[in-house]
Amino acid sequence: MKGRLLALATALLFLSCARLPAIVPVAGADPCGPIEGCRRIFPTGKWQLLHSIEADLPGGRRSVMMGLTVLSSRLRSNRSVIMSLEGFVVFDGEVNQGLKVHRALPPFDSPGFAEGLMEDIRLIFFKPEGATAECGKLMDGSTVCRYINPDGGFVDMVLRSTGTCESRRYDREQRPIRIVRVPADARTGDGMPQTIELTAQGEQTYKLVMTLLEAVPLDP
Amino acid sequence: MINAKIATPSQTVAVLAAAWLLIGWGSSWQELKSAAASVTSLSADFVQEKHMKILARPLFSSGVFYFQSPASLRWEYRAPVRNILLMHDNRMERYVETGNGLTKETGAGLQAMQVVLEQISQWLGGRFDENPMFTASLEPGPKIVLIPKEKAFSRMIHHIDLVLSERPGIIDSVVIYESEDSFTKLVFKNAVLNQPIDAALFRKIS
Repeated sequence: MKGRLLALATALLFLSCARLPAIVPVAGADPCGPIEGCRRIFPTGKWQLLHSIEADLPGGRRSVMMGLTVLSSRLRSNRSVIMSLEGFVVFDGEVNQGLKVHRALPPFDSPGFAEGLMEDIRLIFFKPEGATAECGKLMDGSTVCRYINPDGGFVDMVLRSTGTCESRRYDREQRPIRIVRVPADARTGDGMPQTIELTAQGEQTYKLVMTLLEAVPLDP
Repeated sequence: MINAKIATPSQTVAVLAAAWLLIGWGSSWQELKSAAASVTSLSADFVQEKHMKILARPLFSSGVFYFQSPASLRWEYRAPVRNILLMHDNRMERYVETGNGLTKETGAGLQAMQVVLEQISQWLGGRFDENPMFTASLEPGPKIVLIPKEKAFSRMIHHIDLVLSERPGIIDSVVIYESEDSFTKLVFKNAVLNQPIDAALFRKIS
């Protein structure tokens, strides 16, 4: 029994001491240069984007919905709508200097849902807004640029050797909470992702696979 | 994430399919009831437009539906995301195209959708104005306006307009208003009335 408790305590201690992956500096004028291609996965300008969303939820539940996002990269604003496949709006929220929820039907009206959704939207569609902390290589050889979020957390932009781009978000305690993946073969010629995978870790666990159905450029 | 309330739009679409059988054939509820008695089957293509104030252009969906009296329905979206709703023998199933092909959807929502079958039967019996979900009114135009009775339901759908064509049996549009800024318009075409439909269409997805 004591042994089990010790093992559990050790595991908890290990988890509580989660650290950001180590970055090995690389020589060169612009160590972040290779990441530039990954920055193109973020839409530039104003766009109306429609995705189908396959959601794997806790308890083995699976749901398919549609997500509409109207965004401005310059203003870092967005209006995000979740619809049933029939087109009925179950959630409609907006971030433009502040968060405003226009419509939220159960269960999308739960406390914290809107804030969490908008944080995911920000990670998926907007370049990290914080200062660059450091760039270099991860232990597996992937190129990484680390940003410090205004909330005290971190975002690592990672370019894997396969060409997959990842945005990995860590909270202030340096625990991983979100991973956004865009495979190399899932991007259009101008870099617009056709497929985006988001995995939520930590207190909330779910996975979203977003498939681009329509991208409409809007007047600036 | 899917629950009974989320499934309600599917229910509404299914109910609308049944309602379509009954309109355009009379100017009173009694005439609609009489006309309903002659309908045995119906199939049609449909195009759906989603309008929202924030959209630069509407979102389009399209598909086909089949109905067989008394209560068999296949409502199939073919684009942009293929999904099929099957109702037959008091059972309801839904399949959605995913990365693994057409996948059967499970959840509490399906239980709620069972309720619709009873409602469709009621509508097909011509008891259009007796639907417990809506208050129905027949207006000049001609137009039928459906207003949800329950406050919880009205949070999702404000009202539904069924605008009838001058041609009996045909309607110009079905418009589902969620709010002042958001509505969904369904337009039907290539309707085939009272022709045999393979029963397998209501039981199997292919």
